[in-house]
Amino acid sequence: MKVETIQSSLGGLKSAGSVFGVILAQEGDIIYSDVPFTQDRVAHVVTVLDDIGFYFKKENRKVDQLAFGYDGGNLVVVMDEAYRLVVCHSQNDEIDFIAKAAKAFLIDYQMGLFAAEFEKDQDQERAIETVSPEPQVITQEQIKVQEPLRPGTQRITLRAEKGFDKTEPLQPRPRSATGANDQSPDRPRARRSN
Amino acid sequence: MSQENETVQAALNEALSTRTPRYFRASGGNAHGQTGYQDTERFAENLMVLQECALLVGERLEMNAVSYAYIYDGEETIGFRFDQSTDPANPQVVGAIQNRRVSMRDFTTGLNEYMEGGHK
Repeated sequence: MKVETIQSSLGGLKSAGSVFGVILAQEGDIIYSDVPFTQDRVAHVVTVLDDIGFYFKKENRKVDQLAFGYDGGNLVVVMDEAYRLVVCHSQNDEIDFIAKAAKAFLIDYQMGLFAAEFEKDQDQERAIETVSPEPQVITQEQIKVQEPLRPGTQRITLRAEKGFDKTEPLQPRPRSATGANDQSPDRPRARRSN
Repeated sequence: MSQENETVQAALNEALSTRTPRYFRASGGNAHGQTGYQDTERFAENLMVLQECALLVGERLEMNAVSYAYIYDGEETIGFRFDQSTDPANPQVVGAIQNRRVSMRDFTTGLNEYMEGGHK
C-alpha cells in the first residue's frame, strides 16, 4: 500500500479530537510515523511495543489494546497480529473513541493489503496466460524462410529429407589406412585444376 | 473453610457472575483486595507487568510519570491508576480486573469512584 494512501487514511485520525501523533508499525518495522518525536525515539518505542506484544503472545494472552497515561500525554496502542498502531492524544477521556477509530483503520489497512495481494496474484495469472498461449502446430511450410535476412544472404530453405529415418544411427564414414576419407566410387571427385 | 474464606469466595463468585470489577489497592509492594489471596496475587502480577510496560514506553518518549495503564486481555479489562490524593513519597495505586470488555472511560470512572470511596 502506498504511503500516500496510509497518510490520507491516518490524516483523518490525526485530526480527530486531541490526537497529536500516529505511528503504524509491523512488528519492529515502522511503516508510517507522524509524531513530534525524533525517529530514534519512534524506533525505540516500536521495538519496545514489539517486545511487549511478544511477551503477551508468549504468555498466551490475547492483549489487543493498551492505554497508557503520562504527565505529558496519553497513548493508545492497538495490536492486531503483527501490526501496531500507536495514537498519541492529550485528553484521556478520548481513549475509546480513538481506539475504535484505530481498530477500524487497521482492519481497512489489512483489507487493502489483502486486496492488493489478490490483485497482484490475478495480474500474475493473466501474465502467465498471455505468455504461454495454446501450443501452435508449426507446419513444414512455416519453417521455410522465404526472404533473405539481409542483402547478400542466401535464401535458406529447411526441408525434411525424404526417407530420412531418425531411428537409424548415423554410421561413421569408413576411413582408409592413410586417414583420408574413403569416398565411394559414384561420388564425383574433386578435380584438381591445373 | 473459615467464615472469612467463605466471604471472600462469595465476593469473588458474585463479581465473576455479575461481571463487575474487582478492585484492589497497592502500595509499597503490597496489594490488598476483597476477593481472596489468589485473585489479589493475580492483580499484583498484572500490576507489575503493566507498570513495566508503561515505564518502558514512557521512557522512550521522555514521559516518565505514569498516571494509568489499562489493557484488554481477551474478554477481560485490567488496569490501574495512581491515586493522586496519596503521599507522592509513598504513592498508592488502585486497580481492577473485570471479566468483561468495558469502555476504558467507564473503567476509569469506576476506579475514580473506588478511590473516592464510592465502592466497597
